[in-house]
Amino acid sequence: MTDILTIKNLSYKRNLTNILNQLNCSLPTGSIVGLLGENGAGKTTLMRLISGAANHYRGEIKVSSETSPSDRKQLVSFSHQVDDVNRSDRLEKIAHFYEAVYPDFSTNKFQRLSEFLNLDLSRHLNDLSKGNQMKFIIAITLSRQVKLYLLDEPFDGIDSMSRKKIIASILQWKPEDATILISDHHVDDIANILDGILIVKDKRIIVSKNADKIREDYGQSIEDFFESFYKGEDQND
Amino acid sequence: MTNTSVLIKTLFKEKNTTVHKIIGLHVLTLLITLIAMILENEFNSINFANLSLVYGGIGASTLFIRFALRIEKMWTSNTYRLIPVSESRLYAANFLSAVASFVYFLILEVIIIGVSSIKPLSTVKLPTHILLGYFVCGLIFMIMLVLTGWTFNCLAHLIENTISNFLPDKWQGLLQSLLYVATFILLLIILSVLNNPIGTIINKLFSPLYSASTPLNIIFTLLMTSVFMLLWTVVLTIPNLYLLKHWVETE
Repeated sequence: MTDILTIKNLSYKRNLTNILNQLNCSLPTGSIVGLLGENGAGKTTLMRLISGAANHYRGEIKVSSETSPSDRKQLVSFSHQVDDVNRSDRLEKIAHFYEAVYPDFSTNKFQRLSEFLNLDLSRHLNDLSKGNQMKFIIAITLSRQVKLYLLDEPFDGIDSMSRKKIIASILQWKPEDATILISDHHVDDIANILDGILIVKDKRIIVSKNADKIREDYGQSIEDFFESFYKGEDQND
Repeated sequence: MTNTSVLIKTLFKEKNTTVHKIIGLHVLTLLITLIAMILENEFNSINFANLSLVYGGIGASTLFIRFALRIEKMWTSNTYRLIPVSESRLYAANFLSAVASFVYFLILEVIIIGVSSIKPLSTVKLPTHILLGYFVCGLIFMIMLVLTGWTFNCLAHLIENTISNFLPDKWQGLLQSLLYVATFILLLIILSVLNNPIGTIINKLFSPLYSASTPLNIIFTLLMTSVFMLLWTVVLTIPNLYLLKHWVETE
């Protein structure tokens, strides 16, 4: 299987703090991979770097065969792309913006996804509950036809019903040849849908493993395996 | 890649929401003023026209500030920086859409002020070509003025953002404010140093503007000042693009 993402010797520093140091990893095409790590480990930063939102780094980030940030933006759909939309706008108006500025945005897919997630597109974004806002973000992110999707903590602070619906939408609407990288620090939320995991700790990827292999070789659940790296340390959550 | 003209059109439409709000407010304020004047039996066409001009000026200043903030915000926003275009195209689209939107605002304002000043304007006895010359050159001058202002503001913001990358978290707030003030003062110093010699040359060449003020001299000087501001905008675009490409990231 070919890799959709290859990162070599990635180092990133901001505000005099080393956030990532000599990080290496790769992601196989067509898989769902969990990016795990405690709060502040650098998961969001890594996603920002992959997406092309942050460009002052050392090392190499290659998505498909593209290394420049502007080329990578064409191949990556990152959930944070919805961060700064006008929250008083209706969902359909926001969707029109994405339809206009992303040539790979599928309106048809967005409408079907919205229906699946029970989103009322005539409502204003700031009128929605946190769970429905996240559903909308997922719908926008997955409606782009790209090779790599980056979902940053999609289950943060939302109820279990919304969580299940989002997981179902990820499984149902993921293009077969696309890869999804999901970051989370509540591992049990996503453990069942993962094909592999990356664990970020000490500014680098310390584990990159297939999920089934972990269960077979270590006889542990993904959650237990992840937590074993933090034994004896104070947990943030 | 996103088509640049499509991006400009989309951003233009977005910015026009603010234009329509300000225009709506101008019309509403004028109506209230008109009703108040009629009710108090104090309607005076010259006063009314002057008030409309004042409201228009306040509207233009508000729009200038709102757009300056919007332009700034785009450089650190994931929503815009993740659009698949190069940094230079995003920069161009951001400024061109703001300029187009400002021109749209000015045209609407000219109509509103024109309608509310029909009587005083009918007394003006200038040839049509001179009036048209004033209008076109005034429009160009206004566009260049706001564009230069936005480019300066953008440079200050990008410098501040770049330097803050090298500051520890706990000092960010205080040092950012200090850097803003320092950058602003620095820009004023640079401007005054560079403006003086050029201003002297312009003064010598077009001194009638400051004395007899013939229409052609006014038009010519407006155009020359616009060209000077255009050059400034081009010069400032170079560091802006460099900082944007290499140092300024989303929040």
